[in-house]
Amino acid sequence: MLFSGATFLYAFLPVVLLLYAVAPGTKCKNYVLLSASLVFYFFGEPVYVLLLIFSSISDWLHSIYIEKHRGERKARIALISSIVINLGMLGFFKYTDFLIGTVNAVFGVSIPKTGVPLPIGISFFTFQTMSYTIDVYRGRAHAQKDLGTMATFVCLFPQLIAGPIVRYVDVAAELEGRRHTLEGVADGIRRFAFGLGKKVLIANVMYEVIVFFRESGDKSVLFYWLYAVAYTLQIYFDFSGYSDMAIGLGAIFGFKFPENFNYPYISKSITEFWRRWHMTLGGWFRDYVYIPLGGNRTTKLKWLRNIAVVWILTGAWHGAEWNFVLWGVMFGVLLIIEKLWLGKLLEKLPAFLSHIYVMFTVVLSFVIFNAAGLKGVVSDLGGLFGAGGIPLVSSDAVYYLRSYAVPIAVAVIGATPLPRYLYSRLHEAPRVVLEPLAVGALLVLSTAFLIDGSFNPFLYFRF
Amino acid sequence: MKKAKNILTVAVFALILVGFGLWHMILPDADVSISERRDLAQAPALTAKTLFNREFSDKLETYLVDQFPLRESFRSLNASFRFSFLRQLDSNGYWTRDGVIYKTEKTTDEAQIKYAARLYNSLISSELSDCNVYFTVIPDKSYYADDTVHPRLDYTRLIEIMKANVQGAEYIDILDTLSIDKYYRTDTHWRQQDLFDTVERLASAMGVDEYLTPASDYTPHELSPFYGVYLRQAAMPVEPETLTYLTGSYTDNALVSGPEYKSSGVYATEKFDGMDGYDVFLSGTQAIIEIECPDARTDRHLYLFRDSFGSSLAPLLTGAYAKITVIDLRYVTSAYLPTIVDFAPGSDVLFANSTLVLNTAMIMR
Repeated sequence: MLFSGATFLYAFLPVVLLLYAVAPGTKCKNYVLLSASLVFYFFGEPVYVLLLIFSSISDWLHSIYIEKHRGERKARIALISSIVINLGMLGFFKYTDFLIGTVNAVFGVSIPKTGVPLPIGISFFTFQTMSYTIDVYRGRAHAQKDLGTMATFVCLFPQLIAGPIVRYVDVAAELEGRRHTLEGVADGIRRFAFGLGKKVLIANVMYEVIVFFRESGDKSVLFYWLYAVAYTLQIYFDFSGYSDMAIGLGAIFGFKFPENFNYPYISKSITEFWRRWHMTLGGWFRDYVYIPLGGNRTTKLKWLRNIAVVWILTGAWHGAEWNFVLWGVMFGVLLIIEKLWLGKLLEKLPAFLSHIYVMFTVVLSFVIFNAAGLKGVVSDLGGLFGAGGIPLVSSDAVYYLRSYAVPIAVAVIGATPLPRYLYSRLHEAPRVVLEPLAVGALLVLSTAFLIDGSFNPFLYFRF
Repeated sequence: MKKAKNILTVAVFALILVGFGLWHMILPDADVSISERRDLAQAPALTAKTLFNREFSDKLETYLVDQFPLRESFRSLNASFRFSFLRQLDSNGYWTRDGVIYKTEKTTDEAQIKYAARLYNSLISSELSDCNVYFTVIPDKSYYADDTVHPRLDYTRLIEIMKANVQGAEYIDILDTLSIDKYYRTDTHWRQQDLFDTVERLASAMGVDEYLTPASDYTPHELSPFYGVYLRQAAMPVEPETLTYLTGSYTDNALVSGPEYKSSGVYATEKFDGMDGYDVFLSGTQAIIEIECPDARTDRHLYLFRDSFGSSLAPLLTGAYAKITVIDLRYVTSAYLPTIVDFAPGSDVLFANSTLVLNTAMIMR
């Protein structure tokens, strides 16, 4: 079930909101949320819902055991057991066929692939549950004694399948008792509607350019760049739109989820970009991989190793293909270069030059990200620079550039804080009408696009 | 003030979600979407099997979208928003100029066009070697559009390929007999009442022009409102128009038959309110039709290989041919033809397919 689908918007959500509103007390509301979340996941993954339940029970038991034996060797063994189970699930479902494919390619053998489908959102919920048991082990969180509450945290549908990666400590207090205010609900609705618009009205429209590019037999350098820019915008509005919807839904139900994006495309360095892009994933790797490895408080060689490990893992987390690993490695190398040499130079450069450097790098990175394997990387990157003797301009490229000029301009401006800044200068009086109108308009327009549209799935589901 | 804003926000959200949700529940389900020329999804069956193989959830989403209240209005809103606000050059591939709806076309596909030529050649050399064979190319209306922006076929190239590759058939050029006002504004097809110059050109090349019924002997009949397929698919704010068909003594007396043909004459007016109003002409999609014209002024036989454009063309040839066999290679395979059609030596043969079909010729077999 997609947040931007008719099933969710016009059937699932109204029913859940109604049941949630009439349910008395936090515990009862938690059970409504848990039941709704299991139905939500069941709709997309009828069988793998058992995996979700297993994950909840496993980490619930492990955390209780860890707390009971805090400071003892048993706690450490339980922690390792929990991590092995979580990584084992992730490894089996996500990376087995990738490894088999790699072995087959390297050694010229033909080991049959398992063909096991990837459970939706497994990369997100395994990371959430791992952070929970690690935090309990470290004493940063108390083990949740109530299985229902624990399962509610793991399965909570607003953030279950595409983040943000919510840690237990972020919502521990709210799981036990939360306030529901008119302002909180209204804020959540505004955020949700805004995210829906980002996804349906911008990301999906950008995707149309990508489809036309892939289908066209009239490629050119201009068309490759148009594709690259459209994909760069699509992935931002798709993912940040989903995060907005998740945060908005969380607010409607009384939760405060962490922010996941902070205008990454205005960054002046790659280091800054990663402080603004998928912030909950960056924070997770920082707290549970980079710092435990020693972070930057170690020898330079180990520091570089730590960065390399984090970015290889970041790349692989995004997908079981070598182009994702390459994508992660590329950022790792750039971050090392920035930290060693380039960072100081970037600070001295005029802002527009730093922006050009960041956006050029980011656009190239997303071309790598979206390529079909390593062969696709070579082909797509080559196309950007005229490899294969393709012309500079083609009639298809000019047509689609003209047809999508306004949507692209809207997306580029929308990726900056400018609209928010301009809106903040507006007095409160017109907002009384403007904000409800905007919510209504976004819902109606998004529905119109969904009814007449074609493409809708969220990109980050595959992770 | 803030409280009022929040109350309004919650109210708007609830009204839209719950309102449309409830409306959807009480609204009777429609069977077909005339605008999209397809059956609409119906409520999926809820069983353990459909639940666990995800068939239910997949079909539920399709059903909810297909049967959504005000579906057509939402589709129009989408098209209007794209043109007016996003300033896009087309919506779902459709665009308008001076009240005429056009469809953007794919790149000229030489392989498909050459396939069409090979298919013609195969029939000419095997079954039609003793016939007088002609071919023409019916241009899409975008050929006549005053436009250099939207993608369209390279018509010159397409015709060059056909002329260079079709062997044993004479090409009849009809390009200068047509113009944009001879096509329906909201549909892909040409207007039958404006085809006399085209029919004259074809008949002249085939040596039967003197037997044609003059335009003045036809009686026009109008059916309205005619929502052309482009209007329906594009969901654009363009007014519907009137469909006209012509009758005369030859069309009135023509006897029409075919394996799937259920109408009694060359016009099936009962089809006007169906998926495609243009199906009035020869009842739309038909693999093979035989039109016998007992009053024809010749005893000649025409084999017309055609697509939907030929449906409105054939009735205008009834005075000149005692028998017209209308064949659509999209619906009957050419290899199967000799078993069901007897190609009489000395007959006339006209291949008359549109550029839309020639550029996707592999749909013909």
